[in-house]
Amino acid sequence: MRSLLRDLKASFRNPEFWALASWLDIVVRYRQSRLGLLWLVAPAVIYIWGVGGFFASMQHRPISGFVGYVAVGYVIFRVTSSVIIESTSTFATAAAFILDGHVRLSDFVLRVTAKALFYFLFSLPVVGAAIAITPELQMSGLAVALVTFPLVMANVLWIGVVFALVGARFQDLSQFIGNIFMFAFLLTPIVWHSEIMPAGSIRGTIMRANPLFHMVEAVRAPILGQPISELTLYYLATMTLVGWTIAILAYRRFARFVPIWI
Amino acid sequence: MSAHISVENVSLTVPIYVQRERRARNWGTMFFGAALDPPRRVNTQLLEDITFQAREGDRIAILGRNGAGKSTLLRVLNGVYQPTCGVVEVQGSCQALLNMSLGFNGEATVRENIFLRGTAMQLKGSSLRAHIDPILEFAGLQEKASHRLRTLSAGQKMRLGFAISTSFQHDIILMDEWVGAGDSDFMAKAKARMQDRMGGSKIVMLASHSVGLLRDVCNKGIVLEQGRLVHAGDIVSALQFYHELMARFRTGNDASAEGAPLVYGCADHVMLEKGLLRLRGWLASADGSIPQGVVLEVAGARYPAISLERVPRPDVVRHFGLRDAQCGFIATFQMPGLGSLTDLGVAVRVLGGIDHVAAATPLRMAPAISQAISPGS
Repeated sequence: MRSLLRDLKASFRNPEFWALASWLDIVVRYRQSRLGLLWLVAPAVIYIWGVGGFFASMQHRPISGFVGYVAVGYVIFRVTSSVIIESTSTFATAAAFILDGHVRLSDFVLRVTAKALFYFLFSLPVVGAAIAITPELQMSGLAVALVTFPLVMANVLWIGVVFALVGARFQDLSQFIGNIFMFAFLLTPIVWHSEIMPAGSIRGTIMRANPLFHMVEAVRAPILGQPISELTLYYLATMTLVGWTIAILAYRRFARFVPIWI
Repeated sequence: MSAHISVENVSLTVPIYVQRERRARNWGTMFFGAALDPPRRVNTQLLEDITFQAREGDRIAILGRNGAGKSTLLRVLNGVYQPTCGVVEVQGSCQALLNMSLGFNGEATVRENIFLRGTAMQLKGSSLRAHIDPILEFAGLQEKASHRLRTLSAGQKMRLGFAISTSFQHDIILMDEWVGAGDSDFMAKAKARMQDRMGGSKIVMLASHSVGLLRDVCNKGIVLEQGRLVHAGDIVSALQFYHELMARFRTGNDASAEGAPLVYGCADHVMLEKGLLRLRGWLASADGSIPQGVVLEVAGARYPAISLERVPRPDVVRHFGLRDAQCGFIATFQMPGLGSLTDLGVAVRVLGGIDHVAAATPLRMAPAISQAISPGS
């Protein structure tokens, strides 16, 4: 019987394998190009300044206020979506290691989580430039974000565990999820303002049911000088508790089937 | 700490997903069937109520037909598959040599991949660093250390995998078949390394179809058939049981589905009389049938035996636990224009097989033969 918490603890104590594996995943992608790791920054620049600037002018908003909004939303969304998308295929990718006796499965979830965090760190300078020109920027809000971001990451981790297990059983999930996230990006208020969907309306309710909205909002709102709504706090707290319970139970029940599925 | 394996009443049932059996009448129905039929979940019992113990000094051969559960059992011992019921206890550090050329990152360099595989084996960076150069040297890849792994050939990858997997001594070695292909130079090195590792380890479990190898390495044997343990004992009794089992299936016309069985044997003595070359030796096959093909290969040309006389070889039968007492042979070859044995040259091989056409397995040559045909004699 494998326990998620015990495995995670062991994974954090022995980080060599998953840290090295995720680092290699990142560097080999950029090895062939002259610009190397600079390419890591390119998507962030395109999304935040390109798409953000375009949508700002489309909605007749000043670009200085909008790019900061897009920047924080984009990086949080990106961490979450890349962990979910990649975790669905992480066990299948590592089949050789698992079948060779490396059965601490939490390592493979941390491998994709670490990779997403690396990307997050690399895009921080771009994000920093965007929020620096935002007039609403609150320094005290940055401190709050330092607390809420780990909470968001805690949720990302359990989501990664659950999707990794489901993805090992249903191997077509990874393709499906990729498509879903195109839609989720548009559905989550990242390139549009959440204010235009008032609570009570149908679209507003849909937006508030979306967990991605609350994960983004918990970090973005304080930075931009807005209070985190009570709904977001309750939503995240519930999600953390329920999610971790599901992840722990699912891992205990299904981890032993993973070598058979892949 | 003493190494120890204890397997008690272990069963493994796994869900597998099968497509519905459907007679495809034409291409259309076959494509539709493949696209639309949902897979059905079937529970399959891979191992059933297996109990055995391995203590220090045991070298256990795992025998059985294809699909009997040999690899599955090794994976259970390795902790990859958790048994559905029963208890597996493995005491001592354990290294599985199951698929050594997998588990690499193709775009990373050879050196980085050694680190990756090493950390996957739970080794710390500091102790690993000292092993990088010996591993590269053993695999013969020193000048390739900073090349991308995908630029290596399949053989080089296999060599690298072997070098990494065997560079540490463990208490228990689990092995599925002997090391794959490689050039003869590397094979000799790999064999020496393997023997060294096996000698240094406390328990070896080896699944193989190569009876000669198992006889050389192992002192005990277990036989699996359809996931059940049908025999456990010393190596000779296990081999005997296995041969009998294979013979039973052969009479039931079952073995033909498994392709050509492995043959093995030895050429003991050679002499030339009246233009005929007579070769004495023995030949047996892994499935217990009596192989009838002996071919002499001289510089690439095949000379099938013109007559093959079976003779009893009680010594060989005892050693390998064979079923067939008549495993010895005296083969006669017609070699026109052969003045003396030394005219054969050095490129001489004796090949064995089920019949002359299938004969392709080189037999071991006794020193007496190499001596007789070597030009210096």
